Amino acid sequence: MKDGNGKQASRWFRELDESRSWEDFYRRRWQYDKSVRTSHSVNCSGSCSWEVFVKNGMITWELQKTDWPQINDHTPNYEPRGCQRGISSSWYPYSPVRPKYPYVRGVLLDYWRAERSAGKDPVAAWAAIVENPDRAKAYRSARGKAGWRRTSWDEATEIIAAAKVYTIKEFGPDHLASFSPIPAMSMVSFLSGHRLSNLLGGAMLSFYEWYHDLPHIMPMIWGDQTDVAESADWYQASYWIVMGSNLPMTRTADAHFASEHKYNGGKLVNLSPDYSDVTKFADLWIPARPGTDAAFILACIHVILQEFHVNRRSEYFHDYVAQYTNLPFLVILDEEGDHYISGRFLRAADVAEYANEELADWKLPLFDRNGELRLPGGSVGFRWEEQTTGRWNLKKEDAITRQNFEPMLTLVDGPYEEAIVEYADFTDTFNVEFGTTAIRGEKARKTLRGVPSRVLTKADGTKVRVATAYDLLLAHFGVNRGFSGDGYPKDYDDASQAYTPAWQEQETGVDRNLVIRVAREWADTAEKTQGGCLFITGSGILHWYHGGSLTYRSEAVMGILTGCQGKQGGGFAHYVGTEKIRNVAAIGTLGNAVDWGNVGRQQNSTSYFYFHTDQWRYDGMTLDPLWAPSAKRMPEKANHAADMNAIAVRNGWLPFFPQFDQTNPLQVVKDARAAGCETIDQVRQWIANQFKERKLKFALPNVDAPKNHPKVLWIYRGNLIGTSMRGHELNLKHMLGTHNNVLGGEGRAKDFVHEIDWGEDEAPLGKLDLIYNVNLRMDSSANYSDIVLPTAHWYEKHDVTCTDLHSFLHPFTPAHDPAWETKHDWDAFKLVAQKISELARTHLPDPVEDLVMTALNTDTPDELAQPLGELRDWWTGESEPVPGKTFPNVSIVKRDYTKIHDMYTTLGPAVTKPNGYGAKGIKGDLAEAYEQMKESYLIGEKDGRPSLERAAQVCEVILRMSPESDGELSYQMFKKLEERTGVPLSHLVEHEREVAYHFPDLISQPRRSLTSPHWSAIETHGRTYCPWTLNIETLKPFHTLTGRQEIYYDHRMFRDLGENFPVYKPPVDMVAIGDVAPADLKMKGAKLFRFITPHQKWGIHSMFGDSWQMLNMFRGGPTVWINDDDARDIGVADNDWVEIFNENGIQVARAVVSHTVPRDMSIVYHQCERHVNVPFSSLARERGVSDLRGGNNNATTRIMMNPATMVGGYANWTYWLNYQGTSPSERDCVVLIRKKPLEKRGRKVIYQESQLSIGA
Amino acid sequence: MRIKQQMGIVFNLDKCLGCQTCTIACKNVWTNREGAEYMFWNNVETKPGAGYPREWENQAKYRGGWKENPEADHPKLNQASRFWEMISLFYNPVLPQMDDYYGKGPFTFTYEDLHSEQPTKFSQPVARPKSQITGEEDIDLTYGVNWEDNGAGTHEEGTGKLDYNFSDMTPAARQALLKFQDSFMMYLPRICNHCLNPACVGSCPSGANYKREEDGVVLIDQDRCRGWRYCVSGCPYKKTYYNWRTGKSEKCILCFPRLETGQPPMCFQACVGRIRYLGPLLYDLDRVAEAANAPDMELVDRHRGIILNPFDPEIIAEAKRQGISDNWLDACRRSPVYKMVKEWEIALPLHPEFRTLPSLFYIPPESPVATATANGRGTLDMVDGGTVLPDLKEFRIPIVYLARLLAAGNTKQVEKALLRQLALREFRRLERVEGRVDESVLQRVGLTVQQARH
Repeated sequence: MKDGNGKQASRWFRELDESRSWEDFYRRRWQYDKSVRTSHSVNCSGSCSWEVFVKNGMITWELQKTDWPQINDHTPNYEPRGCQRGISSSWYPYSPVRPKYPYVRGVLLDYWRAERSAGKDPVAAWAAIVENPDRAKAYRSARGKAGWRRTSWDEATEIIAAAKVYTIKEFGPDHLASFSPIPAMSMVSFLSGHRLSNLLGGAMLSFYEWYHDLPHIMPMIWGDQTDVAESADWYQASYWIVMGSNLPMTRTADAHFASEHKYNGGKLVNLSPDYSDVTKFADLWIPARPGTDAAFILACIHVILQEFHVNRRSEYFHDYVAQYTNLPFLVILDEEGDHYISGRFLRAADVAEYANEELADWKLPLFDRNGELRLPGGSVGFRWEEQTTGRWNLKKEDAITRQNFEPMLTLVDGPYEEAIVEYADFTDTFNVEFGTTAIRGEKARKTLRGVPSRVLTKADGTKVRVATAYDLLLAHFGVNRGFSGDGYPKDYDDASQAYTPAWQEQETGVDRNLVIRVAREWADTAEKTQGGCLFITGSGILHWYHGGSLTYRSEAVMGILTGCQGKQGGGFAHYVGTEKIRNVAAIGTLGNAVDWGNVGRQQNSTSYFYFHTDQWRYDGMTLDPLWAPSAKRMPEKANHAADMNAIAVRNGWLPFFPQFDQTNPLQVVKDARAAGCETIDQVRQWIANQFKERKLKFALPNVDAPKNHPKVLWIYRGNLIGTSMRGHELNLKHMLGTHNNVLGGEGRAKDFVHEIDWGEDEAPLGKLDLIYNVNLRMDSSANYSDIVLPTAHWYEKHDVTCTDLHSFLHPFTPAHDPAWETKHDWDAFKLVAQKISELARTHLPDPVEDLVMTALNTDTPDELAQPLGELRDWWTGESEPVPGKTFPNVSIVKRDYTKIHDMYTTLGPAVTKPNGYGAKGIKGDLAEAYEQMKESYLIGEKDGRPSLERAAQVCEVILRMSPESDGELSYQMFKKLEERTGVPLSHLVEHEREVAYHFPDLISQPRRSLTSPHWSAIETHGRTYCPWTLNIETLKPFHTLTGRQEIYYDHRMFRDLGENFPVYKPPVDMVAIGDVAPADLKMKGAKLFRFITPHQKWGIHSMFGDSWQMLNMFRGGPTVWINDDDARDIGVADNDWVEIFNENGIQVARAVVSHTVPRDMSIVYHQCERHVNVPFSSLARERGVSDLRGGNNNATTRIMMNPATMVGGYANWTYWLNYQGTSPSERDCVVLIRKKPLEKRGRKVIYQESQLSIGA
Repeated sequence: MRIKQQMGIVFNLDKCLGCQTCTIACKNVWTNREGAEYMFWNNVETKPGAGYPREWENQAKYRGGWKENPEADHPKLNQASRFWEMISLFYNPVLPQMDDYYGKGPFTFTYEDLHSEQPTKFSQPVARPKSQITGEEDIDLTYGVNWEDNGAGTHEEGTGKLDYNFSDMTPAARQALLKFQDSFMMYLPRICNHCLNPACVGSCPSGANYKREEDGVVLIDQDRCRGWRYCVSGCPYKKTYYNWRTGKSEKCILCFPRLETGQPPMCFQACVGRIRYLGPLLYDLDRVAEAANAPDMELVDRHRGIILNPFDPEIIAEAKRQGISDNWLDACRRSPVYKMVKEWEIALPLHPEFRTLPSLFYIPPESPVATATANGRGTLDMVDGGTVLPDLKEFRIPIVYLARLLAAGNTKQVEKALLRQLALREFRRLERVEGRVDESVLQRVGLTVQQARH
């Protein structure tokens, strides 16, 4: 060889004098003409800053921007932020999956054109189609089956406007509904369709809890929808437990902190049933049995309480719990035969000393360390006092005497008597080995444990026995302090009683020593670092029936008991959905059209779809296994989720639309006026009487009556039909009225539902008159819509985005104009608004009055509606119907439908009124900002108001309306809040008063949000965002009943559910409740699997999953992961096609056989859409169902609603869109899987109808 | 001594997310052209697994790289002699076939079905799979660039047993590791190694492959390439690809148009796990052949040995004499790659036994402790009694596996790299949680406080 002799040039090198001009080949490829900063609008929590490159006028590729400001010197920064999905976005703008023109399905368009060319007015033309049963059936059953016709924006929006105007006139605006998720991912685009909906009076459908992204415990414990740490704060932690959150897969851009925090001395423990991606980063992997995670954590708490609270009283933990939780408050012990059950909290009204306090039912006394009764400030009663007294704070101060005191946490520290208290044990209600539970589950059993208590004399002279919530909690966890009662476990190895390490071993399959080890490590670290231990958790936990209410709660409580909440680098951090709209006030105001005085019809989607897709008929679960043995009150009211929901609606806990049984709310006001009602109070009284006399009824109990169906639904920026529709096939059948592969009958709920009219006939097949979709892909929502309007790609838009995972605001800026005939969503709905205004001139020429009924609302005085957490059901005569108290809120909204377009495109003046603007009950006004906006060259004036004509203007308006981007606004709101709290707050932002981010600032470089009165973190001076630091450090209360972190829940519903304590309930055995047909259980070659649908690696929900890049990064279409031993049992080899099914539907996918998955569990990463590589199902043909193709991963799931998430009208348990309400809980699902039989001639599968051997 | 400049690379496998953002960053810019669909200049594989193309590490199958040649002062090509090369010019028997990469070829789908004017009867339309190479529709998909993602199909009866890195273990040991209880998983991101002793250059009959003088980037001259594909078989990493449209071979160019304008390669900038480090190195060309011919167990050290110390005044003087600029020398002194490879010895070359002397080095990954072990030992006194961090011997990924992958079987090299990571973590934990600076933790593995704080 020539090299090595040192004399001549190596053959490896081309010397500089040799020509290398060919290298320009690659240099030219890299060259580009311009680049822009922009982002992606997907529900991934990314909010990344991307540079998009343009060459010859075309978008070519993208790369992460790396010019993020550093938060502080010692924390790794966020760049490059972006992932495999984001970097493949440039495929979409010119992709073959993109609709480039407006489309209407041929069947419908033919009817329309025939009617229009016959000279009919648009509204009359629409009536002629939908009122004709044959035509209605024909175009509904064509949904999802292509047959598209290209049309114009003019024609498409005319059909839409006609349908809406027709619906408003015939049925009422409450029969309209808009669905678009996740404002934070692109705020302006989000606002568009909802602003239109709210101006019309339509129902605005929620997404957060519908996606099952809402951590139900957040409003319940902390009184806020969600507030979590940005990922840079993870780096400050010293111990992580990751549960149900697969960081590299779903928090891809944040996952680098996992290894970086380890290099900073941290330790990472992962609970996951499979060897998930994050397991790779773990020091300790705990493969708990799916759905049993709470048992592990509760056993950790058992150990921590025993060792760090009782055997040795950690001063740090003890002081934290005493000041910042509801555990020192006093719980009344109710007599239950020869022992007690724990009841509601003692109130100021109960004791003579404080009975005269204003709102005394909403103020809570406790003992100080001398055993004297004290009334601290901070509880919800102090928040809503008529006069501001400045006592809504967490000072350790008596609110009456203003003396300092220390709360007494345990009565053991003073004189006490032992009382025997009954606890509920749900361990055996369902077997964790699914398919083995006795029919519909067992009832819970009781255990008895001694608790220290004292007797007080009440204001009325009677005696009452009380215990601190803390003492009750210790007993609940079986922490032995030498009290009597046979319910205390002997030691950690006693498996007979919850919540010992040995007990959890039976549920989770995890060695008891691991529990003890993790508990000690966690608590030791938390004590030494004063709260530096972190839970990172997500949908793997949350999406279970008890996930958001109980499993999450176990984590949160472990964090609270060890002083980790509100501490930098500590606490409970849940990341599911891009939930955080930092600019929350601006989005709430513009989206709900509050600037025009609108009262929004906010609808929790889970209930909406549970009923309107008729899934309630398929729900074979009774509530028997959920009730505590001592429960009497709630079980007697309802024993099925559907019934409980009906009760929740009539008592103002949850909303439901349409509102009235077969009555147009526009007509209701007319009737009230005709009856002589003039003031709103008279209308309210009249309405209440009408209901009391059963002259007016809610639509819900008669939900399947044709006039109570939703009529027009629009979807944009989300794939409602494909991605989030649990019970997908049931939806196709009942709401859309088209082909489906539902296997099981609908009678499963018949014997259990009493509040909803089952009806004589078959359940309705096809309810919606019109479903239309603004979309950039032909995904399921587009496929199943009647009309598809093509939207601009994110690289063609102006918009603003943010996330919870970092604290910056980002812009979208267009790389080029929207291609073909696509439009920004803002412009698309503006066109619809214009069409509606035009048609209204003929059809709704005069202003009308709309009667809007809403649920009782959180962060308003509605929180005081139902004292002591007792249900007093007016329907059954337990109280009078009083709107806003025992009955939903009743408001009248004046609507001028001819002005919809004008209102849509300008900022209404209602925000300039005193307290006319704000969020979360923290208000101010925009009087000054309103004038400045009109003068701003970035906004300008239209009709004497700030203009919202163009998307870029809306971006700037959002920034000007947000304390997070406008320091002066933040300062002014903090100033106002100080009056109520009596503690200093405005100093937090004093130095930022001059700061105002404008839209062009964001385009030049990401900007970090400012400390805001609407959020709970102090992020000033280089602090990473960590929630509740503001509450802990400034003593501003949490928005809760006690103003502290709620660990004990005293509402009647929770007591009856045994969920007044953080309790363990096993996953629901869905075989036991009828989701798998008994005959199918015997099918040869089929096996039962737990069916898990975590977030995927090759898409964000369904987005990106159909792109070339993502499909080629794995196996090109739907797959199901199963264990190799299970696969062998059913004769399946890797990459074989299988059928996954139960009564609810059939999915067809290829098997991914892997030893990284445990036995008995199947994983179908969601969302595997149905529009790519889904062949026909053999089973569908065997069973003769109407849809022969395999379904998506929602084919086998269905909505299951948990009554624990329905409570309302009580302090922080009060409804608001995306705050409270039911979630669909798809993860308890169980399926059968079998190898798919071969097709004719040995083909594995077929895709095309022409190759089917049956049918036409 | 002939001093050469080389752009060196370190990938920290401990941090890799397996997300493939690097793969797509590269794909979008360089290989989304006809003829290049199946090319992944950058790919990320899950280990255990057979990889892309299937079994690329198995040189008994592909005969890539070099063999030790005890009779000479340099190794010889594994794919045999120049003579053999000439006689098999028109039929190269050890080339990977499309099936080894991708079944019937990279796939796309019939998206146009979704927009059809024609209504369907029984079901919604779907985009059906279609070969991008042949246009055939409704094909079976059977392999791809990341077919084994996260252990897909890599159980014992699947492709796991094809993983070359189990070759130092018994079949029984391998079988246990490919079951749930003892499973493990790691990612291996791969680009061209821009080797100091590149087999692709050594085997090109046309002289089209070369290293750039200024940065050591290995390129295939698209004008000179005649498509013989000996670089494809010669490269033991299978990182050159034949473009069926142009008839030339292509490979990773380390984004030289970006390097030349002061930007990192696409895959580096896009790396979300922040695992990729780029830094210049100096090496002695005269000792390349000899280092590449060292016995297996010495390969890593000999490789490190030819990387020159940019702080050494004699090296500096000689480098300047040979025309290397002050800026480059200064950059070499600040090079993170130099520190990780040479000073801290925590980064190792991929399959040094292929003897190409890669310029890309990998920091071996930690892994969760084997839970069975954790159960069995005295776990109840972890707190206050000692470290809560894992012990090297407890890691799920066997040291012998990593040693086969990154050290030609030399387990000592892997142990040292991992122990130093663990020591750093322990040092920081004691400092942050216990509030004390304990230098002895570092001293045990030969590190200083100054290095730990770096």
